[in-house]
Amino acid sequence: MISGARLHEAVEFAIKQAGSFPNTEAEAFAISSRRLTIRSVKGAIESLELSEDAGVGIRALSGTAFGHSYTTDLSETGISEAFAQAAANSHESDPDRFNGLAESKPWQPLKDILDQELNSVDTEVKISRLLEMEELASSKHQAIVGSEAALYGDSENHVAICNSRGVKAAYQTNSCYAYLSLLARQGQETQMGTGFAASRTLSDLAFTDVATEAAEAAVGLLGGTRIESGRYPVVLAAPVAAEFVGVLASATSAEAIYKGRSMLTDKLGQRIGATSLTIYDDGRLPQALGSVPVDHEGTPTTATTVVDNGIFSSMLSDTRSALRLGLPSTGNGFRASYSSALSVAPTNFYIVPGTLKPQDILDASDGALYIQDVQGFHSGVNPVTGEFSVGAQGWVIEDGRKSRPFREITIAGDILKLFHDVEVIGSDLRFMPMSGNLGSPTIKISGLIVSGE
Amino acid sequence: MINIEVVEGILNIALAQGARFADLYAESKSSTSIVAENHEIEIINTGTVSGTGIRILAGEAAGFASIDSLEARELKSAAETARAVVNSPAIQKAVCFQENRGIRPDRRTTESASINQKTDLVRKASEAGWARDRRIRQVSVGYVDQTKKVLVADSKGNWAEDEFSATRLTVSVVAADGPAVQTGHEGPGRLQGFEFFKQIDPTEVAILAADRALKMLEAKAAPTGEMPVVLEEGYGGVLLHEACGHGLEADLVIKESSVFGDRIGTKVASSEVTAIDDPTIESWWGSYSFDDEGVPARRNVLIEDGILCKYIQSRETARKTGAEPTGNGRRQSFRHLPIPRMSNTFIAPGKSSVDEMIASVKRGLYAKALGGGQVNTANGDFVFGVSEGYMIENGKIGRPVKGATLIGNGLQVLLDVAAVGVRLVAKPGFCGKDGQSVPVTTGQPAILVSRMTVGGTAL
Repeated sequence: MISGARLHEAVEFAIKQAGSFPNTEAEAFAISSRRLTIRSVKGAIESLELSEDAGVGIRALSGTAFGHSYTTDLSETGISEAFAQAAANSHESDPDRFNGLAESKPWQPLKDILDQELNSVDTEVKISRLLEMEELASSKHQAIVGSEAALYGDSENHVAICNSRGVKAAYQTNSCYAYLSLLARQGQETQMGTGFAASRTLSDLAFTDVATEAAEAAVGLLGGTRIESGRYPVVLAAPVAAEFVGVLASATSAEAIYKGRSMLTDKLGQRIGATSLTIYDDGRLPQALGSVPVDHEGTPTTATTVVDNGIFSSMLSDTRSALRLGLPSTGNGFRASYSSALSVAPTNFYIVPGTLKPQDILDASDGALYIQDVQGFHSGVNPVTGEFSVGAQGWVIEDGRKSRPFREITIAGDILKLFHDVEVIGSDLRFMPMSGNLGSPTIKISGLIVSGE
Repeated sequence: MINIEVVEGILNIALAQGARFADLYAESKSSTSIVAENHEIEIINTGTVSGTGIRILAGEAAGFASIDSLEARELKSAAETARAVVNSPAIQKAVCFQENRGIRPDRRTTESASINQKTDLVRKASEAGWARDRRIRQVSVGYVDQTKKVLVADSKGNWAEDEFSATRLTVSVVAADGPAVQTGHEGPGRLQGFEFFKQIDPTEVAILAADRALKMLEAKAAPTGEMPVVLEEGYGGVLLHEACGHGLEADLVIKESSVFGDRIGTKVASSEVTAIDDPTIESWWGSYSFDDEGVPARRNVLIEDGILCKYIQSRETARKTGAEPTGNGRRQSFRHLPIPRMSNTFIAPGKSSVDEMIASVKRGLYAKALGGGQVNTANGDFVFGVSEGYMIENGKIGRPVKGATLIGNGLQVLLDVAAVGVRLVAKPGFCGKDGQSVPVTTGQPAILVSRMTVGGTAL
């Protein structure tokens, strides 16, 4: 793969090009990635994929207008051509007095974002861990008939950022994950249960938990029926709660708020959740997969208290949205890839856990619905209005147990109302790497509307 | 893109340790994207990404390596990496392409335009949206075009090359009136160059999006429970796509995770329903001349008069099930393995009009615009979102209702299709599966489903 040193040369060469254009500053962001994905099916390897990628994204700032370009050609010719495009594009876009580049600030590297061992572990070892996981899951119950997907993946990234105002930053990071989607059958009925884990090191990757989680869900959901429409108290499994947290995270973007396309527009300083609800975005959280020393503009990452005991206390920002607010950037300017434009995005964005164990919550939730899985999240949630309506599967809680399975129902409501109605926050904080590393414990909501029979 | 001798050399390296098949997929994609918000052109982003994926098949396993390069030296090393799944003597003879074999569709002439022409068009859409009403709070306009060159070559001697353009304009509007906030979205797209805008007027696209948001400001909570649903022309394809399309993808059938497994020749839909997947329709968003394994595109009738006829196949799933490839082996990019995917999937036009359908409903929902959806293929439960909906009361369109998800089961819902409209209208979208997103069309005539569960909040 393209080395960090090579990326560094590329971004430095890119910003030097600014000198050839009048009144022009520049920023270059380069990323080089190597990804391994192994899939197995019924105890044998289905596929082994290795991919390597490297590219540079350039922003030329002419006066106060930005132009963007990108290329996978890291040669001097490739980069200077891309730069000329970015400069040309800046002349066709509109100036904005808040457009600017990050100022150079000292930044501290993070020690635990790279596991030296992961890259040196033999692929054979990773294959056997995956096959063992699939086998373990299949042996958990006689109703389990196989897997729809069993995956192990890992990736390694080098990132380098440079700009005309002296920002110069680079880091290297890696991570691995395991995913299992398991099938259980009873008569004509098939149900699917999924399990997922991600970590920095292979030894921390909880293959056994993934197998257990998938098996319990697949078998436990067998025999599910619809339930009556009505208003029900609801317990959201931590991964489901994390999806809702993700919608809130995108709404805390200062850019989205300013542009009126956030449900939190005009709500800064106001109560938006239960008093027990505190949410952090912490780009430097130890052991967490969303941690990076600097964002993609080269601004050092920080810890931000976004929701403080129910009060919306701070937005997340990049350089431009921060300039507009007259505040320092929170270090949340990220690009999805070298070819994507920069936008405000969360790092490790999570609900601070409470003290109750998940079982304690179940014990106190007779008659509530335990939501194991939601469907149609991307189409069923409106991040601007906060309205949501999604498909759901899970169990009715009886005697402290996930008792009667249900399926083919929807849960609907309003996201801010949901966070207002948080009754209990569990102790079992769990992160799900989505767009940002989103974290939540199991949470109980006093009521949501169910549409069923 | 890559010359024949180099491709032969690469495939021979790929085959050298006992693969039964090897293929190479190369692409080069140049794109321009423009974003306007707050009356300003904020982003103009241009660039090119090129790369190659090399796959080898040995026994039941696939080895795959991709690299963002078209250079011989790097492809050789990728071919060696892809061989990691096998280690046995060579079984395939050397590959040799014949100059005259292969698919090279006629170059379609597409129009190009300057950045300035493109930004003009984006400004036009943006201002048309803002001008619609004082309650408009934001207009976001996105313009994307791309030109893509592809090459697929394999160890059986198949060679296919193409170049095509795609253009899309999306407008998202936020409208606010006191505490009420609503959104409207419209996003036409076609496999065309700048000539796309001879048929599509950016002003009209913006007005549609703005009016949708404004209309929804008056919306009340959507109902809960089962009722008849009329899906407007163009949008109902999401229903077919989710309720049944994914379940017909042969990889899921092979893994026994589809409720449509073992159902060929049986009744899975009402006799009103003939379902088609057709990537050969000129310029539709999900069209192609050959799939990403070089199999020529063809029209496939999946369901005929309610009877299930065939599954959607890639080369590999066809081999495993003893079926013919259907030309549906698709991939998001050179970084991905091909898997069975839909293209332009729709229910064939029927005989009813939307007015007749609405008139036949006593109390139900009229879904004028839909968002995306999702399916659990193992149990058949699927959902899709309504972004513009109205109550139907006594055969007439009534008050607007807020966005709600509709939920149903694939084995039941197509049996409940009571009427199919006369006119086929296409809507572009993207479909996600196994972490890969590909362009698809969910075009469809209007349909009437006799009962579906509406996931609103009004009890």
